[in-house]
Amino acid sequence: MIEKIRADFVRNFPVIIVALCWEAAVRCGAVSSDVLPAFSTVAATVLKLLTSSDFLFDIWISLYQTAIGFMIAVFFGIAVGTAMARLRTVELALSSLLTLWYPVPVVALFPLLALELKLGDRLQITMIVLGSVLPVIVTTFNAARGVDHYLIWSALNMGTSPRRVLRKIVIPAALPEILSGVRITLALSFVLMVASQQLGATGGLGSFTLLAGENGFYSGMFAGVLVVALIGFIADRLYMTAIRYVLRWQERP
Amino acid sequence: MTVPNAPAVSARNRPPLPRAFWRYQPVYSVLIALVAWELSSRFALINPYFFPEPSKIAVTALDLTLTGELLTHSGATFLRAIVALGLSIAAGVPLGILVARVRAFRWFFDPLISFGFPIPKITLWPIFVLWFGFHDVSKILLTAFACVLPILSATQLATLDVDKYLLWSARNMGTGEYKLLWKVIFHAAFPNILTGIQTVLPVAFIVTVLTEMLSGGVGLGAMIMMAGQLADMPTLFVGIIVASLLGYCTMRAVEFLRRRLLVWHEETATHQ
Amino acid sequence: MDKIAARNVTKRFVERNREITALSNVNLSVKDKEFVAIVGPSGCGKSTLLYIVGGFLELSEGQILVNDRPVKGPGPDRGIVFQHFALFPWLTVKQNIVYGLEERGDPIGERERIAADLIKLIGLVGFEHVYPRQLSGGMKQRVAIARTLAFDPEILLMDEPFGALDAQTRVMMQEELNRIWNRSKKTVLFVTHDVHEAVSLADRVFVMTARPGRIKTLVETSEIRPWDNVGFRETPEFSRKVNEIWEYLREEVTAAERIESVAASGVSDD
Repeated sequence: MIEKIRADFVRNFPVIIVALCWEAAVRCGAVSSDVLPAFSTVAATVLKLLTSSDFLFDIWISLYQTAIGFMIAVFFGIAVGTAMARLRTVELALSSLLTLWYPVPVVALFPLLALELKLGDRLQITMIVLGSVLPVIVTTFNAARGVDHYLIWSALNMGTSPRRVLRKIVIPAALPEILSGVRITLALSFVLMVASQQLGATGGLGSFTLLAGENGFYSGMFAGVLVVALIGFIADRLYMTAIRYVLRWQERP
Repeated sequence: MTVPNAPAVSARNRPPLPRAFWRYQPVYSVLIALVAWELSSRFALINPYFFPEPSKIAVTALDLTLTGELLTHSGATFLRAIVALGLSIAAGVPLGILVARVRAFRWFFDPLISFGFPIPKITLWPIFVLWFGFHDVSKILLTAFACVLPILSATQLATLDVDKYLLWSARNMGTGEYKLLWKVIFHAAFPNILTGIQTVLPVAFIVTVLTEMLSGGVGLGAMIMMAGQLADMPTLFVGIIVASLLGYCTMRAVEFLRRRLLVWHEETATHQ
Repeated sequence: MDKIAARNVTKRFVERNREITALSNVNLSVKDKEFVAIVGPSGCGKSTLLYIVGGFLELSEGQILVNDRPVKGPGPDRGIVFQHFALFPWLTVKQNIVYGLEERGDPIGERERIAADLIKLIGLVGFEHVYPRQLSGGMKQRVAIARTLAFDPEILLMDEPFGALDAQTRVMMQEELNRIWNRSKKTVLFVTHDVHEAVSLADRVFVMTARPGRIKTLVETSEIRPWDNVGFRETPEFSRKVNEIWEYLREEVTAAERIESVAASGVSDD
């Protein structure tokens, strides 16, 4: 146990080095504290902000917008992706729509959506969903199609009807690749949340950070960035822990 | 042994139309979509204010081109994205190789990379504005920053993946350490590095457009935001479409380049 | 009555805008409880033929009859074992083995009993709850064979089942397969490129030509069977049979090599 903690510490030490350099650079005046508040100052600001109900509300908004957008995108994405993989008609109908959709940068749609939906939660969540759903569809489709056909043939050989093959074989076999794509989509959802909040400026950590910068509250700005970074990082770690059990059978490379 | 074609049970045979038809399928879908849009808008099936007819959009696009505005904005976006990509490649590829091959680099950068990955880089925009102002520099640098980690990571993996027997053979034939790096490692890892760059290409465009949307001035993002504020829908759509086309065309160009550059690689199928 | 009969089977398919004839007028038959091997060079279509018998691919012309009825798709009457095991990686050893029994609807008591017997037969007691990723190649193949034997198919289709194993494991698996077959006497259609393997295991050996595959010749090997000693492979009778088959196979292997490199370079092989 102690060994593990020590190993973790050694592995993550560079982060501490960076933090120390940061602190040192500012303290000794190499970098002006107007431009880069000391790490300790920023950390202190974070703690202070965490006692402010406004800031906590911003965190809450950011979390639930991301969560809802992400879950909708994943749910729809996997459903559509598997439908496309299984039914040729669905694939034909949707693949051109998706090819058209693919190069469109979702952020560019913001003003259009803003005029339609008005600023607020719905707008941010829609942005997140629109941007996140495509990678999930594509990953699911490719994963389902890429399933080793010998696995499918074995199942058919042993009496599984073609209809049941999707549920019993294709989905479990494709799951590692799907979940790997979903991990990337999680990060993407966070990006879209921040971006839409920066564009919309109606609350949430993205808006807070932007406004803090505009108002000269630089330690607050850095604090906001740090909090977003931490949340994104923790969410990713939680995700990886969650899927580790589901994928416990997977071949380790 | 060639893999047999699709299982007999789930017949995925295309309907019996000539092959040429299917090659142009995306074009047909685009045409059908455009016609549908045009008609829906004209007959107010969809709100013609919010979704102006493609014909009106085309006219606006022509206007903007003639005044030179479109070229200015697109050019700015394109250049920023490309410069940013260039910077991130210049930084990310050498670092990636070093991280893969030199233990000290790996130790230092591994945790930084794994911390950095889930962080939305766009969050740092206000910091970049503080440090570099509102103009090109901050936009380009933020975009480069957003692209560098994926490129670093892809290069690292590509380098690690280089078949060690290739390296052993080269050493066996007397290749020195530095030459090894260039002659063998870089060439062997190149396909996967290129894949990493191709993956991050759309990101470069998206982040560039986003920064333009946040700070105004010249650029497709700025054009889109302004049009939005003025509720000038045709211009808005021109911006969206051109931004999409820019990214799309660049990606296709790179794909084409890839096939040229990787003629020797197994993945380049002959007799297409 | 032939258990399996292939009559003038032709198989064509399209690959990269070219039409390829994999099999051309193949005729062969397998009698009940016979062990028949098909040897041929790489790409000759022997696996394709097996997949058609298995019902996974459709033929272009001709007929495949099993028990005098044309094949209409895959089914548990013709159990198949693949070269790369095709074990379901998300299921344990035991769960893999009972898969066919679950599909069949066997009661749980039956399933447990059959699984326990087979696990003992293949010598993997203690590995019931292990995932395939934790097994060696030889162990995986034993599980794959057990999985197919579990639902007791009349016919066993084997697609180079030991091709992915190292030479030592391969010999042991051949002995084991022979042991199992002597006990249960199923009809076996066994595809391989290893002539020694074919002669060791089969009653009859069909030799296939390079692509487009046809049956070149048939060599009887039943007179030198049964074998139950390790030295069998060193006997002169064995060597004679192997050489006989090699004489037919040699020129096909050279032809096949040429076909494959031509295909890879994209040059038309008219």
